[in-house]
Amino acid sequence: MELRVEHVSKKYADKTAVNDVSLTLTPGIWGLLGANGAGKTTLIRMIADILKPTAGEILYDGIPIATLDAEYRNLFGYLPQEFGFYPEFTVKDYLEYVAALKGLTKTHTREKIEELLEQMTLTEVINKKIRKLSGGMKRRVGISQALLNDPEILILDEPTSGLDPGERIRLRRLLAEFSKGRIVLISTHIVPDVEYIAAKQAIMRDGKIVLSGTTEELVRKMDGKVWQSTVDNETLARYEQGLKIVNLKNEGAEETQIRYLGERAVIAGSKEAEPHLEDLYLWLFGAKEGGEE
Amino acid sequence: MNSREVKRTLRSMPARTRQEPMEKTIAALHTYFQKTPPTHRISFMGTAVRFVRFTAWKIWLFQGLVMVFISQFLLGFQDRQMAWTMGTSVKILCLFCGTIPFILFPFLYRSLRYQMQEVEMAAHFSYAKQMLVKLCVVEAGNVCMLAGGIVISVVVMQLQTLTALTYGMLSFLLLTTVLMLAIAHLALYKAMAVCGGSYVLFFAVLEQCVFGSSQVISAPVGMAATLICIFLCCVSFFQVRKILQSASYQELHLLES
Repeated sequence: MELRVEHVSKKYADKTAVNDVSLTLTPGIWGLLGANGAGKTTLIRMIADILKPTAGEILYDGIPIATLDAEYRNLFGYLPQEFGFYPEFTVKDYLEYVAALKGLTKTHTREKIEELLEQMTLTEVINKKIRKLSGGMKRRVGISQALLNDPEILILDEPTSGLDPGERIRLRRLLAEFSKGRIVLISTHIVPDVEYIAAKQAIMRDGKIVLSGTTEELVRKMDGKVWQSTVDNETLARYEQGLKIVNLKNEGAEETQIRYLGERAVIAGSKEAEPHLEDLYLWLFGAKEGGEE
Repeated sequence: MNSREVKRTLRSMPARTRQEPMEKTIAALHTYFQKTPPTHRISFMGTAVRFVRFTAWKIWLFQGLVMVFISQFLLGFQDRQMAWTMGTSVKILCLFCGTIPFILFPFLYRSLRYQMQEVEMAAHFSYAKQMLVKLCVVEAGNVCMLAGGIVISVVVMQLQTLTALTYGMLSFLLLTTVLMLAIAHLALYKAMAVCGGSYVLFFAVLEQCVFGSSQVISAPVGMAATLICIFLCCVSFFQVRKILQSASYQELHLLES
């Protein structure tokens, strides 16, 4: 099973959202990282066959998805970044409605809804109106609708938005289990969410893929570029101006431990730190751009 | 060589097309359909019927309530034993029948309003088919409202059936066509503005019209009215086709508006 994005572009009158992107997705979890405005959502929408590319093609096992049409949509589940629901819908109504749109039979729908609600710990709120649920619960309902048709390709745009840490871990576990033999593409700018579960990553910037590869390969690019040092608070302000500081930790009243990025150690006594994917992300995008919400 | 010889020669020649890409595609499709598990799927009509449960009944309920309200309003006039002039009756009928098409707007774009459109677009049944179901559901209700309006105008306002039918259909089809043209060619907010402007213009023109006391519609007028109705139906049909073609992707200005 393979989903190939070949030289796909999406141009609007005033900008190019996606610029000549090529990517081959194979079974497993893929992370699609990038700051806001990088083009992730536009690319995701084209892969979900919602937007038509201006140029290029997307192929599933060698067949253009435009040709497969409804058969392709049978294969995937999609959670958009911003999704809503009709105000009168309860959780059950919403899932049944989406199941109807996916053309699922009533029996299959009933069984699948029971199974998903149990997995997502939503059984108790099945008859509650969605508008009355918390943000995290709404997101779980959204993930449930994406899984209704047992998709072979699961596309999630910012799935962990609004989830608390416990829910995030539960979702990661679910996705790790689900991804066996399936393609899961998670688009996010919250790096830790994909760092531990996604075997492969693609990083987007200004509509292009700037880096892609396994998580390990990408993290290794930051070898020798991540440093840790303890500085006194009086000099901290000076370092904040000149260094790419990615983390600060108070060590008592007078000292702060900082983690910073650089080609070499700038502060005397700095130790090389184990890099994380987030360090690469901030190296590429800068703390300001990368941290924008 | 004459054409017969050309055909004979072509028939005897071996096929020159490259089979390899076609064979690869067939093999890929075969592999795909082999491994795709038996699906638990229902037909589009099955989904359309279930759509009634989720959405259609609300639309029809709304339309029914509007009809009840209008008929109560007009019956109130009758109770007060007001005399209906031909002009007043026709204007009220035209106004009512011209308003009916705009009921489509909130329901057609409901998924956009509540951010459901991406989930709906990613479903098995194409967004175009879903739009078609919505259009059919709303228009079925609209036709019932139109019929109801014409019946009320005949019973309450003492219009002749043919007169009511002519003016009612013309007003309804005229504004339906404007609506469909706007939706098919303009972004959402521009379409709403154009439709609003058209309705105001329609009302202004109606106000200026002078209707005589005679309800007789001559044959040429009747023929002209029929031809206009047929023309408007055709234009509307082609706009609906365009709407459904564009609805396959977001180029219907849903997310770009």
